[in-house]
Amino acid sequence: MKKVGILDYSIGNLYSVAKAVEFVGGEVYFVKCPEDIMKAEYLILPGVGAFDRCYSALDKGGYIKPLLSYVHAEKPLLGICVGMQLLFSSSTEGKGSIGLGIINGTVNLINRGNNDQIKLPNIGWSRLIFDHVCSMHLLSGLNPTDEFYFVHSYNAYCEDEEAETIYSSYKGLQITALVKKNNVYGCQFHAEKSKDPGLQIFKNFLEV
Amino acid sequence: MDKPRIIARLDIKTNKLIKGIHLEGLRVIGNPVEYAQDYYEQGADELLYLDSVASLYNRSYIKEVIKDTAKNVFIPITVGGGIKNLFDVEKILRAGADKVAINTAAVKDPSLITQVAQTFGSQCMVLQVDVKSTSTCFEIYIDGGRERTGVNALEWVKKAQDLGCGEVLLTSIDKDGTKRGFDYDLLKIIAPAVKVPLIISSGFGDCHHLEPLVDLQIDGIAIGSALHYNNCTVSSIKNFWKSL
Repeated sequence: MKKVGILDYSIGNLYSVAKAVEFVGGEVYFVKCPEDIMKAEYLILPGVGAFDRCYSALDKGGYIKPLLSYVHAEKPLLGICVGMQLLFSSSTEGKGSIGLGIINGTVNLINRGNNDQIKLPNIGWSRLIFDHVCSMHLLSGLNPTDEFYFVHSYNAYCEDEEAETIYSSYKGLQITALVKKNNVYGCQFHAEKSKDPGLQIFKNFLEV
Repeated sequence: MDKPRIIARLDIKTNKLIKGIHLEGLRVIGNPVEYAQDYYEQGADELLYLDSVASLYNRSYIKEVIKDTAKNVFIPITVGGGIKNLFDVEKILRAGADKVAINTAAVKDPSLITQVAQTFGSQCMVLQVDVKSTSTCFEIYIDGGRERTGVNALEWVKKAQDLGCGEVLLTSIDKDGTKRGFDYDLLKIIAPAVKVPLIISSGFGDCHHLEPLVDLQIDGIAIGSALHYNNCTVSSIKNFWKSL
């Protein structure tokens, strides 16, 4: 069984992420100290709530440097929701904060323009925009009609030429749904809350 | 209106699935985890667990229900009923829930809404609003529909949603468990005032009850009795919506 570390650094529902990984055959352990990061064969960075608080918690826990070393060693990392956003350079949420800077780009409030009929947070199920020629491994076995559960007010705007992005649409607004740079993956949606398609994402991640 | 999320609502007493009418007269239906699994397999978008006697019994029952559910059910879970403080919220989230629905404690201390939103994220903080119709207005009730407050529902919703909640869950005590349709008069007044996603509950009995909702901005529909008593399935509801 593949050993999957889930970083336990902030308040939130880690239990469901663990159950999803176990459901697809992974062996879960919770990473509660920086030294345990490198031991993971696969590492998941969850995150809920505000970006600035999450980054601060990572920083206080001493996780920033070990995470960057882990990525430098090209070991697989999956960021979920705010965990995906943290991969980027910075966010304007709350008091504003830098991120891990693994992927160039900034995280900003979903831009509704003048349309305040569009409610935030974006809460609900959306499809990803891709077709059968898409080669991103994380999408193996998935159909363009599959829906994923999104709940967020902020969106990651990717400016990294080495990264691949897959988008979704929220009332016509472009949302960054999936991102990949080398062995680092991020999903804005909650893969652990997206029924079978979500479980497939975990399955594919464990085959990276 | 875009398609609403279909949310299976399960009222719980200790570890049993129950259902009342007008939030009282509890009838035991069965094992909530089994029903939740069934609704998940039917295609439900979310689950809503409401603990009807949380203030009277200790909370360990609901945590076990959440944990058992989350082992095999991979959709968002909201839990409400007697949640009073951040400590309660953290315990519920750790057990496998994603969001908490708070009514009484928020009415008594509205700053709790902001505290929950800032600590756990606004997406976690669902403001539950239980409403009964009086001769002059729609009034907020607390404590599981047992205590009236004299507070106007529209005024409360307008004030509370600015305190940081991510969603509003609106329940009509008059219609609860009746399966005779939603309180459309209530919805016409409240829905336009809600700037965050709005979930409505109470009164769904058959698919035709969805028709008057088309012109309103409703983001989720929580259904209890009609599912538990097998009047419809999640898929029949979703298919009906597609045809509207």
